[in-house]
Amino acid sequence: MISGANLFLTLLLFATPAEFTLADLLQTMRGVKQADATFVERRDIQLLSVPINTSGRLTYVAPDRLEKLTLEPRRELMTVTAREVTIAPDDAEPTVIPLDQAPELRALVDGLRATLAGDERALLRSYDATFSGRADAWQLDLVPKSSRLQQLVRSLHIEGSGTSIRKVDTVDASGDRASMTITAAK
Amino acid sequence: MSRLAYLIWPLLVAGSLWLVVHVAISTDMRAFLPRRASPAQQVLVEQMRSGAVARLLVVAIDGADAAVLAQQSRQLGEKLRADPAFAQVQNGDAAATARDRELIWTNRYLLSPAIDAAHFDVPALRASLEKSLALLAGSGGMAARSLVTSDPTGEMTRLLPLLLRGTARPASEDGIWISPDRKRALLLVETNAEATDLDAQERAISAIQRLAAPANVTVSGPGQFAVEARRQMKHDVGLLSTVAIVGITIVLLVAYRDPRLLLLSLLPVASGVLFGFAAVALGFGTVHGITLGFGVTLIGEAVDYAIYLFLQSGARKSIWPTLLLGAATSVVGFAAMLFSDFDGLAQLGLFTIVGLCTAVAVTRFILRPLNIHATARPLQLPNSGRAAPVLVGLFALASLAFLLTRPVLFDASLHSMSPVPPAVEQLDRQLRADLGTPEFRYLLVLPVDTDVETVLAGLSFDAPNNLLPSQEVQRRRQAALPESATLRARFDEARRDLPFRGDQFEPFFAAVEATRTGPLLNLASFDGSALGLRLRTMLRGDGSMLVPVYGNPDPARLRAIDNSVLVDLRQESDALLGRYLHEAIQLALIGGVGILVLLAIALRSATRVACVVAPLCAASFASAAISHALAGALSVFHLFGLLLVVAVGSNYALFLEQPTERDRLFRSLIVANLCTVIGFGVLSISSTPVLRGLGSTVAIGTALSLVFALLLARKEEA
Repeated sequence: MISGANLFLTLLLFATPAEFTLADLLQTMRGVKQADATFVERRDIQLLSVPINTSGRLTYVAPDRLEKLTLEPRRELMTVTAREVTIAPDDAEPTVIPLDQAPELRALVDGLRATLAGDERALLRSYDATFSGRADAWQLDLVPKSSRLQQLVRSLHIEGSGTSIRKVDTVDASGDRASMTITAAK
Repeated sequence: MSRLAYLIWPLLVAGSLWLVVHVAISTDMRAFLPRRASPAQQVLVEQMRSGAVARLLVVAIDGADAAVLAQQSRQLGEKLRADPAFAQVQNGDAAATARDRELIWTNRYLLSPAIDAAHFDVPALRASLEKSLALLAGSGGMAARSLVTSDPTGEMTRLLPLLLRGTARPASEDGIWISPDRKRALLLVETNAEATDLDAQERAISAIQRLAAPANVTVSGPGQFAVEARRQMKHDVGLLSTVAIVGITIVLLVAYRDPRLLLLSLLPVASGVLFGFAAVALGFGTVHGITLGFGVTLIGEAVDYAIYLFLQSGARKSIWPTLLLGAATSVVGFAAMLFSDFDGLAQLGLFTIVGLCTAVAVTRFILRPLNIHATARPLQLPNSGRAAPVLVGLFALASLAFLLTRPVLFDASLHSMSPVPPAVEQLDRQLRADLGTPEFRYLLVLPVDTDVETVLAGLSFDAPNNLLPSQEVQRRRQAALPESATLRARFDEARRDLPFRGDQFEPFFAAVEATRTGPLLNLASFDGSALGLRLRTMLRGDGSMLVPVYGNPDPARLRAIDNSVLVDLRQESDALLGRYLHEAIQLALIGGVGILVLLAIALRSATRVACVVAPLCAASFASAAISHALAGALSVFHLFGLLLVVAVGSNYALFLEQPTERDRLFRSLIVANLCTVIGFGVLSISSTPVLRGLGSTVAIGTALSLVFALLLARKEEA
């Protein structure tokens, strides 16, 4: 029996053009007003003999508010808005970084926000983008254009399905890696 | 006697001209600082002249979008940094502050207040490493990694907030400072020239404008205000004196009907200026620009001497006793200034006295022997009614009553003299707010070894100790650094069962060892950096330092600090100007009493003294009242104006007080007064408050002096 959901998916597949482009992805991203997810992140730092594993929750509210609540190993809330990044550990004073005074961080945040908000112009202003895959399994590779931003991030690899981001891999200038796996909340 | 004069005069002129060429005209504000100035006042004047704040110009570029503005600012910054006229240029460009960051980074173990022997023992290192691990695990971990391997004890995190106090923190576009509305790129430029060196300031400002072209640039700051005010004043003086000279020339040509006399009229006043300058140069070593400016005006009376000579020579009685008494009156009036506590006022006194004496002497011994006269018919003196004295008296009393009931008679604030238009001031405030430069009102002078962190605990301030700790403190910190082998051993123990790889911390070991065996910091270490400049402005070279205190601290608490001098920048400048004004008023009153004594001795009659003094008092009160009504309050420039009214008016009153020759004298007095009214009247339409105050007071006051003297003149005995 063909369920209603399957019928919908079949129709969607027929309606989708043969080639799924970055523009198409960002177009669909623009429809997302809020998203909640959980994450697990593994960071491999050459300085440490063991990886750092963290986990917690992510919340996105269009157009530009992003919250990362780390629950393990230490509770910490990071809030990103259009103006500033706030890092608030549970056991210490919060650090507020105004993006106006941290241009590299601003470019990084802009890239992330542009992807989530589907703002192609903003995204391509700071990054060279390579896009591949289908609507339900796509990969986006971002390389910062400015050398100053490259000192912070060498490359970003984002995987997703539809409007859900599944994975974000970051490599920084020294070769340290972070890999974040994201699961959309029900 | 005259032959001797013809011999001596050219010699004196030549000598004075030599002095004019060789003595510098000073613009040093210290001339207007009392000789017994309080330490706070000395600091204030020092700051106004050469303080970093006074030498700072804010430069704004607008008229393009933010990215273009940032590009233009970056280019302008590079050009300005290459120009030796500028000590430093800040616009957010990281390249420009690289040396500062490198200095702090390299010397972090000498600068950090946390360094002591316990800081590098095993438990403290262990605590630092655990903190670093938490930092790496946190959201900012990626950025913290390189910092952890070079600085695991977190000295930079401790130092930066400490060292960045008192610096501008504006918004930025691509790293370049920009206003919050993103419409203006902002630069802070410090000139090498002192704020009071207006020629150098003007060159610096036009260099900025030239280098910024074709970008749309605005320059603001104390130097710009002063340059603009001077330009405006020069423009006014140039335009208005042309008008005045044309007017006066016409009056004198009509009166003399002889162009030779016109030129000869200038001789006494020109000689007066020359000899007055020479006298001040010999007496004080320098001549202040302000002395020269006001001095020339104050001996304007000397122009009248030639007029009296050329137009009154038909008189039966000699004009000389009266003219000499008139000049003596002025000299006595100005003499009190010689004893001023302010060099500036004393210079002014000497200049006017020598200038006036010279003018009288030149008129008497050089012009009179030429025996040239204008052919002038006597002019019938209008007969004043019997009610005239009553009217003059009422007018004077009304003026006096008006003056005495004013809530503010004299305004001594800096603002009253500041020719900065409100719109310009508003723009400057806006630019400074955009830059986020912290404002301060209080400046503390403290011995350099003061423990400011304790004394000023809880307050926001900037002190040189953070940037350049004393040699003793640095040596103590250096001695607290363990030898490399010891440090490595302790570090290995501290990181036991923590996941740090031991081979990653070489940068840390190297940095500690370099500081342990390296040189200490001194002022020269900071050469060529913005921090060095900041240090130099705070260290006074006499063992004391300047500490700006931000926000609104309790002045009583600051005043109570041992061995300190508190400078309240807002109040102190007003107090200084207030004292200046107060002394000028006092000296003017003493001069007035001197004039009364002189007249009493010379005229030997209470009635005659009253005849001379009454119109002068009435005219002074009336012109002061009118000036007050026009300007809202009187300033020191109005006071100088009143001095001139008394000096010029006393001549009118003295001549008219003698009933016998009035009709013959009348013409010369009218001509003399017309010249004064034209000369000063045009100044009253100037846009510069200084010139306006002086001009209107003198024009109104001298005209009223003549009218009142006529109205009060004794009738000729039949």
